[in-house]
Amino acid sequence: MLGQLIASGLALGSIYALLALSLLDFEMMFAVLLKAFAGAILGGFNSLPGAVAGCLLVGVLESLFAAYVSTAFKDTFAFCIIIAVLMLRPQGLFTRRLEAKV
Amino acid sequence: MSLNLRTLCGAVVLLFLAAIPFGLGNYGHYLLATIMIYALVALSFNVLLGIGGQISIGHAAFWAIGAYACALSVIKLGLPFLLGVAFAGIMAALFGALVALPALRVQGHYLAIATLGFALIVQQVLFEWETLTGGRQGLFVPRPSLFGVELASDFSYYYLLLGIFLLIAWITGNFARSFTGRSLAALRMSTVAAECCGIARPRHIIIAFATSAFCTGISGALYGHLLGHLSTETFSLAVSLSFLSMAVIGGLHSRAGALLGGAYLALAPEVLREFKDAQMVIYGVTLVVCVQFLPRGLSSLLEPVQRAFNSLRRRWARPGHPSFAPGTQDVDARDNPRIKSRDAHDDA
Repeated sequence: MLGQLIASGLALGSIYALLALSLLDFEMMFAVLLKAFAGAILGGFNSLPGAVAGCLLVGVLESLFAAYVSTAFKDTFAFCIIIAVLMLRPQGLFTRRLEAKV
Repeated sequence: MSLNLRTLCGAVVLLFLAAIPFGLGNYGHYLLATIMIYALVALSFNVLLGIGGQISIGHAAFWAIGAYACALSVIKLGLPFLLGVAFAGIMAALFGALVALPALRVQGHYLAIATLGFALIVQQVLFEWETLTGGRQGLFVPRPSLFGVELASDFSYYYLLLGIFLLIAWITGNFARSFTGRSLAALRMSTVAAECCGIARPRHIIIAFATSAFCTGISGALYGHLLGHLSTETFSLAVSLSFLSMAVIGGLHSRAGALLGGAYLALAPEVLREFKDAQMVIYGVTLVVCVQFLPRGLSSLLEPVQRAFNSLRRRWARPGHPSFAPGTQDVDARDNPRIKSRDAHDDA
């Protein structure tokens, strides 16, 4: 599972590098990484389809926010989503509640 | 024998701290002042992470809130410097209480992400709010003045910082031993057991975050006046991370550790400047080595000294005071309440 995640992360990194061929920078993936994390939290950590749906949702919501409200606070909005989800539904949107052992 | 290790060490360290600026130049004074400022942040991590076990990668945000609150209240409202610093602490504490809200629901990595998000939001808002903060031009901050006297040099400012550090160190030390502090430590060790004993988790978590943010806000306020110019780039994510690493490297359960951590963060770049390009590599390696071999921080280097002193004192004390004979009473724990509580930290 973790291996798959890392592999897909690396694959994503190389695709991203190809797309932004004019500029290569070691800090390049940072924003993408944070957004992906936001998406994964939104969807729920223990559900792969949930993570995909969460990332899609974050991306679309963020772009809608940028279009209709403010471009300057586009990134801020993504993090507001994370914090709101963590406070209201810590397990994510698409997973069932996990029981913790005491 | 009323020779107390804590008083003696305290006196020696205090004398050293008070004397050291006399041997240094202007830049040395500036570095000493930054050590004190970082040490205040490390103290705030002692409260939040050391006692409460709550992680935060958002402390640069409290630092920024403190810095801007103090600078703006001094410039725009005309508050005296010290009142401005107190105001900064209170503002940061309010935001700290706000950040505690996600901490009531989530733990560990999730909390780290929530605080990280908070830090990025604060930085962005400060950057965009140009009418208040000056945006990308930044904000010029006047030199600190105390009761009408301007502290023009870093030399005099350092003594003010030292005083504030000692005050906050005293407060956090008492906080750790207070009912609230002990309740927080109990919550860290086992939330369920502590709650079964009637400790209200929400209230204590909010107190921990607010106290920690208060210290960090004060530190930020003092930093703004030391620097003379504020810009949002000073409060990036990297600063939050280096604060966290500094606090862990110094040692999370001792105030001496906070001072050592502050010294590490302020002095390491100066020492490593010689290595030019390899600087960051060496910095990273020292971080790993520190955590690997000194998991309880640089302050654990002081423990052999303490142990040697204690055994020496026991030998002196025995002839005159039969009650001090080993086995009948724990001399160390009686004189030094921290030792007793430190055993409890080992499982953390």
